[in-house]
Amino acid sequence: MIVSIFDKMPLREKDLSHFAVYGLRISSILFILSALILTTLQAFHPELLERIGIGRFIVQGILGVSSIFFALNRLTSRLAFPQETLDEWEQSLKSEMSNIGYSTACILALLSCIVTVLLYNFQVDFTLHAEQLTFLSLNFMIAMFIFPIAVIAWRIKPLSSRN
Amino acid sequence: MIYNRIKILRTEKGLSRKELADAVGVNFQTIGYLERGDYNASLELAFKLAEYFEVPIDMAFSPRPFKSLAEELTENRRAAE
Repeated sequence: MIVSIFDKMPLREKDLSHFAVYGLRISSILFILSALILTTLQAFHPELLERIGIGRFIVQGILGVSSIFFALNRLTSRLAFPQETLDEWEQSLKSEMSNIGYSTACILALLSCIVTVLLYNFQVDFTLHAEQLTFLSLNFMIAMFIFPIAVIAWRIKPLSSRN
Repeated sequence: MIYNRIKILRTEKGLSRKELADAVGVNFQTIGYLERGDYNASLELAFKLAEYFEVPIDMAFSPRPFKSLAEELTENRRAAE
């Protein structure tokens, strides 16, 4: 039943048009940058976020618009579908995306370990509060889930169903 | 990298990417990226395409770049002589 619903939503020509592909590239980059800025500032310098005033709304606006564009793009939603409902090109794209996500997670885990060991060795007084940890985890999630989509978006080229 | 002649074979039959994709059970983008050389077909798809065009699989796919039609015709003529 679910499989047949997914089958009825194949990629259309407009999903791989110049507008859609370049839009996905730009929106993914804007999404990552604005989300990272907002979460990092909110975690470590919330007073700075208050001080920049209108700048905060601009960053939030960019985040909102890019997430809408992101959500409306069928390529990104199709990559979240079950493997068996995907075409073989989509399956290869999805496994490539998983590989990038996994590598990113490994690199981030390794970097966290290195930073923790260094802080411990140099006996730097560094503690993270629950709120800061939450925002840091959000950054990790963005890196793991959105970064692979951004990489894929920069790799695929626009295509038409005709010649 | 696997080279293919899908675009020539498709054009000869007067098909669009969508029509060929429907005939072999994939989406149009798979055919498009295959023709451009951005994607290598699975063995299953390669056989399906060769069967659809009624050509031996090594006529449609090759690990080496295909010769141009002019070169092949010249070679065939020389071989016949």
